[in-house]
This record gives sequence, structure tokens and C-alpha cells, in this order.
Amino acid sequence: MSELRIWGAIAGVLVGLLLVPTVVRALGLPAYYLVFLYFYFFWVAQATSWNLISGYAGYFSFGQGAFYGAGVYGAAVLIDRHGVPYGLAILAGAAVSALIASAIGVVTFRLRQIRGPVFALVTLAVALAMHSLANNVSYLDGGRGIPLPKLSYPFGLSDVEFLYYAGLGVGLVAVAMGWWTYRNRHGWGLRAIHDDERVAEGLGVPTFAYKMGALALSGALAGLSGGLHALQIRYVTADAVFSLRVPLLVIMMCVLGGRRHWLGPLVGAGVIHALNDRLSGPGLSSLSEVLMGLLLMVVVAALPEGISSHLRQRGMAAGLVGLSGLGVALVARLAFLDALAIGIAVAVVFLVLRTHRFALGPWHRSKAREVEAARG
Amino acid sequence: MVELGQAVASGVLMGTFYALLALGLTLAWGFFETIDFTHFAVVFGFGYVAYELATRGVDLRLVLLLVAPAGALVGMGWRWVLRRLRLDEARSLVFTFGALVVFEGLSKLVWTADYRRIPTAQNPYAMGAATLGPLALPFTQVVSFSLSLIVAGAVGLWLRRSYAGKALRAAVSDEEMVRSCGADVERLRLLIAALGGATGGIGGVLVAMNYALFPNAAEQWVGLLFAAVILGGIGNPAGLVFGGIVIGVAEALAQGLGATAVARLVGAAALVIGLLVRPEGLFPSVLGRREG
Repeated sequence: MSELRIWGAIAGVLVGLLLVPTVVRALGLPAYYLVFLYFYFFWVAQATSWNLISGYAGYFSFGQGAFYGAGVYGAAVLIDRHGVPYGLAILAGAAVSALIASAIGVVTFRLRQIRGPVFALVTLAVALAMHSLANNVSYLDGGRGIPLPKLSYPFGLSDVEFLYYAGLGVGLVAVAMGWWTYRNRHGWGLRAIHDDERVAEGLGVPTFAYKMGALALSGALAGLSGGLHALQIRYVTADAVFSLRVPLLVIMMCVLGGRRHWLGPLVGAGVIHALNDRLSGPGLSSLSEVLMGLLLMVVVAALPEGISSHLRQRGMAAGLVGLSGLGVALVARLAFLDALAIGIAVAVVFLVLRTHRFALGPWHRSKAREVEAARG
Repeated sequence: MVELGQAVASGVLMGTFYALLALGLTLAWGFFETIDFTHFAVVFGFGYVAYELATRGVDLRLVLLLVAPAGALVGMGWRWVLRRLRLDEARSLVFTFGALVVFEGLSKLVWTADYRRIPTAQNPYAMGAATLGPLALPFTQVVSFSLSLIVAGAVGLWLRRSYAGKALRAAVSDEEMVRSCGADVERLRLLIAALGGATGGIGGVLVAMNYALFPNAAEQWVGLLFAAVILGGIGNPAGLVFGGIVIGVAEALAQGLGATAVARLVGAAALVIGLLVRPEGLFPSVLGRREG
């Protein structure tokens, strides 16, 4: 029965999402709602991509910008320089990105020790190297940027509507990948690697193959979503594509949402995207950087497991708190998206406070000490 | 021939400069399992402090002297904070990355995103160069060269020979045991953190003397400095100097061959090639002795 209910809910959400552009068109609502949702799908895809290797297997990557950027530049170069149809160009971007990811894996996963930290730094180094390559090689960019031509989309869709549907498709592919990997043998193997790689290896988990698989999948997903994003950007510049924003936000989404579950990136992307979208208005961008950094620090220090694991126990309460925040903001005549961001922020703050009031109460504190002592 | 000599000489000088900047990184990673992105905030924070003081007419040589104790205090304070939080390697990486982002945002608010350079009138040392036969050696780089060799050599010897250094290295593999032998590991670590902060601060002032400052400047150094740390063996100061020199010379040669675009890639390339050839780094790392 509950299986049925869950599938019903998923189908309902899907149908609802597919109908959104029609509703927006019919009611004459601002098209920005579609853009807002497209960006949410984009971040879900990027965060899920990061989570496959860095969440499930615990190999921290700072190179999300490299995989995303490979997709963006792969697609943009093919469309602009060679007139390739955009569908093919996007797939090619995904392939390039998967190749780069595999190359990084071959270099770093051979190490016998300190693999994790070295992986983190190599991904960062590759992202920085790609940035300066794009800036200096005129075939790629050469510092001038790539303006993309105006494309025409099927079924008479406007570009906003097309991007919405395509983004929804890529986001669904990402969630399906995250869910499927989480459920099957591969996912169990990756989690075993996360917990103790040498034990996993000893028990017969093919660690090298599993890590390579997860990393290549992660690269392909990031490239696919990045290639589509090139159509959204329309004017690709190396400094924007390879800035630390993408890796930073993606890491934050997963750490905030929870890195051990396929739902984590969905939750985290919703929270961070909604807040960031409202905060990055004119004159607020460096302030939003400060707030995002602080949020990252607080969440890493206070909720190492992320939000989504707490949602299972306090989901209803947090949802109610968030909705009432939303309601109050709407009554105060704020715009809908501002109200939404406020509701989400209130819900997160509620979760952190609620968790910590109990987790750091006197009884739990002694309990925590016992656990620490037992760990040694 | 002179060009080649000049390229190698400036590569060596540059490499020791990298080593001075990265000393705090390698010590923190080796001896308290913290991959500390905030070290870049310390470097550029003191760079901005030097800029502010110099534009107000304070002599930069005095700033260089003042910054060492200040940096040491900052290093110790931050170490104290991190110790209270008890983060493992992965979480320390994310936490300090967040802190670096906060620093960048704040420096944008305070100094805007424009390039800031110490005016030449207050900065006679940027141009000053000693000459060694046909070679020109810039003042700031001579300072960082001598400091880097002296500090890295002294710390290396201290870690290898002294009782305290032995306790620190032993604590990497088994902290419980070292504590029960009566060594106050935490106080020794504070000393190490102070060293990292002081050298980072001095490095930051030298950066401000040589380069324009801007909020995201750290991003250009992250790859290079960590490459030097890993090539040199984590927690190995002498190795770090060699790692820095390898990268510096490779960069200088690439630039000498007229491939300026490639020079920026050298750090990343050196890291990747080095790891392919010697997966454990070129020099022994203290982490090799870690349990588990």
C-alpha cells in the first residue's frame, strides 16, 4: 500500500512539473518562475553528480567546475565552431567530461596512501589548469568568450520553456542515477569504501573499478548538465564557468542536504538555490558569499550528517514551520519567491536548533562522551 | 647561457618563496590532520594589512618584523578553534574552505574587487635587486629565499633531532601512546601552528610587495602551493623546499621558452606527473607512519 502511495506521489509530482509551463503560459505569470525551476534542476544534476563519488564513496572533489566546464565548453565549441546540432553537442560535452574524470581517476586511485586528500587536490588542480587553458587557447576561448547563436527549438517552444523541459529531463536522469546507484551493488560497494577502504578491498569489493565507475558516471552527468547549461548562459566565458562558485555551491548543497543518501542533493539544492537566488541580487553578491561560507562552516560543524537524515524524524514539524514562515511572509506582501526563501531558511534554522537542543542536552552530552571514549 | 642561468636562479628563488608560503600548509596537514585553506586567508589578510600600513607610510621592513608575532598569534588562535571542533581531514577541508570564502567575501566588501598595489613610493624594495655577477636577484626574493631555507632547515632539524620533534612525529602514528609517555602534544602543536602563521604572515607581506592584491588572488596559489606540499612529502619541511624549487624552476623554464600560457599549468602538471612517477610523493611524508 505504502509502495503504491509513494509511486502515486512521484507520478503526481512529475505530472505537476510537466504542466508548470502550460500553467504559467495560461495564467500569464512571469517566465522567471520557469527559470528559477530550471536552475533548481541544474543544481540537482550537478549536486547529484558530485554526490556519486564524493558522497557515496567519500572521495572529496573540488573539481566539479572541471567536469561542468568540460560540458559547457565541449557543447559551446562544437555549436559555435563546427555548427553541430545542439543535441549532439550536449552529448559530446558529457563524453569529454567523462573522459577527463576517468583520467583523474587513473592518476589518483593508483596511490597506496593519502588517496583521499590527493584526489581532492588533483581535482582542484585540474579545474584551475582547465581555466587557464580555456583562457589561453584561442580554439577553446582565448579570453574572448564564446557567444552562442540564437537557436530554434522544436514544437514552437520559447527558449525558456525548452530549457525547462530539457533541464527537467536531465534532472530526472540525475535523480534516477543517484537512486539506482544508491540501491544496487555498486552503491553498497561505494559506501563500504567510504567506511573503510582496506576492509572493503579485503572482503572482495572491486574498489578500483567501483570508484572509476562512480567517477566516470559523475563526470558524464556533470557534463550533460553543463552542456545544456551552455544554452542557458548563451555567452560562455572562462572566468564565469571555472569560478569557484560551482564547486563551492555543489559541495554546500550536498554537505547541507546529506552526503550518504540520494535525497541529500535534492534537499540541499532546494535550500541553497532558493537562498542564493534571493541573495545574489545587485550589491549583495559578496555579502551572499560571506553568508554562504558561514552557512557551510556552521553546517559542517553542527550537522555532519546533513539535513535529510533529520527530515525523517522531524520532517513534518520542519515542513509546518517552513510553511508558516512562507505564509507570514506572503501576508506581509512579499514576492512569492522571497517568501519561499524565507520559509526554507526558517525551516533549516528550526532543524539545526531543534537537533542541537536535544543532541547537546545534558543526557546526550554524556552519551556523546561515552561514544567518543569507546571510539578511542 | 646567461638566460638559462637567470631562469634557473629565478626559478629557485620563486620555489623557495612557494615553500615559505606553504610551510604552514604542510605542517598543519602533517601534524594535526587539517587541510587548512584558511592559511591562504592568513597570507592574503596580512598582505592587505601590509598594503594598508604601507600606504599610511609605515616602512615595510618594520611591517615584516611586526607581522611575525601577529601571524603566530593568529595561527595559534585558529588552531585552538579547530581543535575545539574536532574535525577529521575531510571535514576540516570543507570547513576551512568555507572560512576562506568568508574571508574573500569580506575582503571584497572592505577593499572591493579592484586590484590593490602598494604605491612605488612606499615600496622601494620591489624594484631593488642585488646583482650576483650577471644575475639579478630581487630583494623580496632574497628575503624569502634566506628565510625559507633557514626556517625550513631549522624546523626540519628540530623535528628530526629534538625530543619535542620526536614526540610530534610519534604522535602522528599513535597519539595516545605519546600522551601517556608524558609529552604535551597539544602544546607542541600550538608551537607548530604559530610557526605556520608567522611564516604565512611574512609570506603575505612579501606577496603584497611583489604582486597586486585582489580578493580572489588565493585561487591562483592554491594549486601551486598544494602541489609543492605533496611533491615534498606531507609534513616534511626540507622536502617542501625541494618540491617548491622543482615547480619554480619548471615554471621559469617554461616562461623562458616563451610559453607564458603554459607556465600557469606547470603546477598542476608537475603534481600530476609527480604522482604518476612517485605515487608516494618525491620525499617521505610523515603520514606514511600513520596507523590504519
